[in-house]
Amino acid sequence: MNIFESTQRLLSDRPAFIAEIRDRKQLNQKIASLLLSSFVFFAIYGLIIGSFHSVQQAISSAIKLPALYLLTLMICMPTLYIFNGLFGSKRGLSQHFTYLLSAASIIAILLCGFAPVTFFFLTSVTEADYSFFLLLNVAILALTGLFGVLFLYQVMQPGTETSAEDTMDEKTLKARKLILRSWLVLYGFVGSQLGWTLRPFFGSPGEFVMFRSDGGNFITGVMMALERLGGG
Amino acid sequence: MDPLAENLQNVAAAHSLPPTQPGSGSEQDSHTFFQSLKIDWSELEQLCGLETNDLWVGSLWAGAYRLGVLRRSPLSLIVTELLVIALAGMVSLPLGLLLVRNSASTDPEAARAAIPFVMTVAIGMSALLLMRYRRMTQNRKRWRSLLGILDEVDSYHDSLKALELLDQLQEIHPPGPISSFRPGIEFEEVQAAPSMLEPATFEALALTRDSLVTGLLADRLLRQQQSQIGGRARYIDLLEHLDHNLATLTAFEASQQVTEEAQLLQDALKISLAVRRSITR
Repeated sequence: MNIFESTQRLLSDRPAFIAEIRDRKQLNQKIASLLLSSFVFFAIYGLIIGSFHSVQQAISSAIKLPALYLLTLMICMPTLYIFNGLFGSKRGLSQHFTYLLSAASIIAILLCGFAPVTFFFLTSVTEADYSFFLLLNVAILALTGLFGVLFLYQVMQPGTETSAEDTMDEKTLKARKLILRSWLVLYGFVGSQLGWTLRPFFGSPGEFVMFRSDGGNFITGVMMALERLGGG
Repeated sequence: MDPLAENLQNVAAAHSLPPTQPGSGSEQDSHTFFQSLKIDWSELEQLCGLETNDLWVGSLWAGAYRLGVLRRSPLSLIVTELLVIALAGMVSLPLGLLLVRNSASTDPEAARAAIPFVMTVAIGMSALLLMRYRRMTQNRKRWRSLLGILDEVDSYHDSLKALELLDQLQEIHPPGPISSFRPGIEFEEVQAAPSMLEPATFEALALTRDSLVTGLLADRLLRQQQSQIGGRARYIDLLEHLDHNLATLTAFEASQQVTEEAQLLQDALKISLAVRRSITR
């Protein structure tokens, strides 16, 4: 088993890959391959952003970044599965997990695509540019996350799964679309809060800490970074 | 007939191969024929009711590793296991985080908080991995015959590759001494066979494929529905079918001269015998 096989197919032969998920073909293999490969890609990016601070931070971020994405997915998956089931979805739990992992893999591979850019800035900025490096990475993470979410919205849209859904009434279809959109908002919200809980990923100047114990949330954190950048 | 037996009969019908040979013509014909003889992963999944690949059967978390995987692809196994351990650590992370969060108010020094955090994560990770290994060991015992048949499927595919190579060589080289290669056997000089492989060889390959398909179906029946009357009758049918294939293969083998193809016929017979032994073990 090549652990990168599913990611390769996701990039080169997406329609066939999605069709296989829809037909429940080799789902366990896809889950294993997507989970392991996305873990590796996220860990590589985590290693790069953590290197801004120290070796300890690099190792810590290489574990925490995959945890951020994959745990968010595992935390939010039951909500989507149960709500979809309530509104007539025929997709199984494994199918849901494979679709979500495919989206996570898209994000992971895009982050790996940005890795050389991040690495370039890592080598050319100093500790004083912490806020700039932080905001640059927030922008990269937001952009890649947006692509992942758009992919998920495309492949999980109701009406694309089985022929039985073609006969679904308009009201149920609307409800299912609303569920998916609301879930994507929830996914973003849980992800940003888990990111805030697991921080630091970059490590602000000073001693290495595994976790920060001060309160707050993701939004207040970004606002503070913007203020610091504006104030020089 | 009970639903599983009926389902298996449909699967068997879908996977049986007409015992035809490649047309006397193009290389493309011959390649297509050899491709059609292969049993691919999705077909195996349909036949044995479990996902399979070169590393594991069932799933990576609650399945079983294939026999001899450490010998065949040690690097792949080690990398996969290390990643699974890392994933188990990642899943246990919230436990450690919960502990650090709760102790943060009383212990502001992060360095001191790291020890219980790491210990909690390690305990969570060990528990998850222990459960996984226990399940995998149980499955390995339960699926012993299936794992044996899957090994025979690999040997069959090796024989197919060797025959395809031999067929290609015979198309390229004019009659005369040529070099041939079989997996596990060093290069050797053999007399060139006629430009086409013997019809008996193709029939033997089709029979071997049929034996493997029958073996996989019988094993599935044995795992899922051995005790039921319909299942038992179907199982006996499949065994009889296997015995018939074995008898035909033995007859083919006895009629062959000592040639490269005769050796491959012998391999085909060995595979069918191993399948028979696996399901009656």
